[in-house]
Amino acid sequence: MTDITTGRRSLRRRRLPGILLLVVALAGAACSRSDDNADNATANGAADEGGASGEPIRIGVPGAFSGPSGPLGEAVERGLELKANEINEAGGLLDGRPIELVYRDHEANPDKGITNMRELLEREQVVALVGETSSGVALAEAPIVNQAGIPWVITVSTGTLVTEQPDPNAVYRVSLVDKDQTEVALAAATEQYDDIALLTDTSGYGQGGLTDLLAAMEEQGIEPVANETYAVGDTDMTPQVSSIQASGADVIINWGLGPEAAQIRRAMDQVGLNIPMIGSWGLSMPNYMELAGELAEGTFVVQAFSFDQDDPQVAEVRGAYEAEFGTDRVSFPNGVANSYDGLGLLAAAIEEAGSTDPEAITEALGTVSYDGLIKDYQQPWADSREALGSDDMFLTVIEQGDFVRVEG
Amino acid sequence: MLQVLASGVALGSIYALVALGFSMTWVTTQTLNFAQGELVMVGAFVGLVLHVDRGWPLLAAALASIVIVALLAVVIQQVAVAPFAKGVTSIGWILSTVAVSIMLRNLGELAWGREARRFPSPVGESLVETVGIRLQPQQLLIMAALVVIVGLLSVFLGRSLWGKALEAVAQNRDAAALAGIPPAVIAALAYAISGGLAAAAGILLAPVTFVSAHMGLSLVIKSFAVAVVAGLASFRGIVLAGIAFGMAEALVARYLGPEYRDIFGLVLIVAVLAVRPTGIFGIRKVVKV
Repeated sequence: MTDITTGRRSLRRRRLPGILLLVVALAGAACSRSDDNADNATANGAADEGGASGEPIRIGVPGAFSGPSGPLGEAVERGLELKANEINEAGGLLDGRPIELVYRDHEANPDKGITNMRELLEREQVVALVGETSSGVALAEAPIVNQAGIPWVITVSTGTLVTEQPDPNAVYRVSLVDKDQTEVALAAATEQYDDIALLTDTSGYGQGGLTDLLAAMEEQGIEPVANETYAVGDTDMTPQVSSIQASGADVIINWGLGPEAAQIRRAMDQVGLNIPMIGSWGLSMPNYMELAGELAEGTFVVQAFSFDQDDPQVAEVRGAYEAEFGTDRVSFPNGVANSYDGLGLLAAAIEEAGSTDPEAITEALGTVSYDGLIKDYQQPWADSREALGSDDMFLTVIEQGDFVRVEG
Repeated sequence: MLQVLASGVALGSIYALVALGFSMTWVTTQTLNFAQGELVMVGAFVGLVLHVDRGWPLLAAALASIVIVALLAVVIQQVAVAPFAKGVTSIGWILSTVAVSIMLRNLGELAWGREARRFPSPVGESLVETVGIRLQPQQLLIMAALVVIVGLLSVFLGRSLWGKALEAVAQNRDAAALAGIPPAVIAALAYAISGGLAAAAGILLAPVTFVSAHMGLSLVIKSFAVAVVAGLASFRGIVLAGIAFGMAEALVARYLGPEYRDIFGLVLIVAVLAVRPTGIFGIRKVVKV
């Protein structure tokens, strides 16, 4: 008697190795899934609402508006939309010309980013670019943009290298550059603690942050007591967290995004590792707090903006956000504010240039000033490509589901 | 170290559940459904939508999810496996089920979004501490559920008419057909059970790992490794191998480094096949000429 519960029946030996090879090959092919659904799309730009009625000023918006980075793109879209509506309702730029935003979605795929960028520059004939969510894609797109001489204000991607382009460099940025963020995070860690553990994801984002962190630590002559990594999508973090526990670290600096950070907090809770964790602005996206629940309490997060402040301009934009998008949940406040300010700076430069000639706009960007949501920008790009620096960033801590600014 | 092992046991139990699904279809039809991981994902999402969004009681949502995914598995069997599995040498079903898995993953993204979602555990989140190990209550629930599900499955196979028919087909397909057991019905039944197992695994796993459209991908590779290592035909072997695999993987991640975690499973498949092609718990079949 044989039966399948005790398994005394063997499999067909000769078939299995062949099947196995196929499966491994197919699994590999499936892993590098091609992102070819949901092509570009999402064009519009409030060109027909409000007072402006002249020939639209076309501004290209590259970014990941769907896929795993989609929430970042949503923040870009909403920030830009709010600013564009505001400008167009007030009569547009250059005596009545409305802003028209031309979106192209690359889903964080560099190949697609390049195709989209050529389309924006050659077919859509945009006079400037604003946005971009993904550092890896930005690096791939930048050479084409530089060659075309079209000014580009990046508002989310944080990779330190993105703005370090050879001449003619057309890339400007309003965002929280990794190098500055890591500086703020490291300063917060070294202020109170000696033994620092690094815990980063293996994506370009996490590893870029790790490089900046290690460089900054080397400069100060400190070495991390633990340096652990995890892949995006990993669900069991107990091994990494146990290693950190064994290393005797008394603070963790994490460079990654919400879902994995939430798993880290769970694993810390489980192994009983009760030390503070400092994260990048990625953890200011609400998915971190939603997934980690109460365990998110006490996490430190680097940011440069919060909607919870007594500033009439901030309150007005917040109200416009709720009215426009029908929700009071701002999924990525800092990304929205960067994009709002980025378009604000670009629009001010177009006014200053008095034309839509890309060369004239580029020149104006060097001298433009503008009072934005995050701060009052005084010629931010006169001698740098970054509108925000580590001075504009601050540490927040999660307390009862809210980000509270840490005074220091 | 015990702590790391405990998390490994919980994940390993899930691998075992999914691997049992592989085994069910293999012993009866000599085919495997490589969309098994995506069925786990669909099961988790259906449970999430019914329980969290619609407010159904968890048990009702879980049962509905198991039924829906079991039906989906039968549809997959009818559409993507049966037409491609004619003859012993046919391997078209491998390609077609992998294709189904990619389709389901992308449909999952479209239907339920690309962000991971949280699934509250029915047994709460406050940790349970025993003999110095701290466990999430859900992890204990997973281990208990594995025992219950394997028990129910054994009773079904050993006692019920349909279960005995399944066993008969597993032992000798031709003789079973001669005895009046319809192979097509048995094939559908085996796929339904494997789908139900996947949905159960999804709902059990969801509170531990969150729910996302991509949750099935690594799961299917690891569960396949478990099934191969155990020998696809051995139920008890699969349960043991699943748990051992979960623990070994956790140890590899802890002491060799997390980057070796995913390599480990694949290396293990190749090693076991090279040394013992029928799997550790399989029995070599002597072919008499």
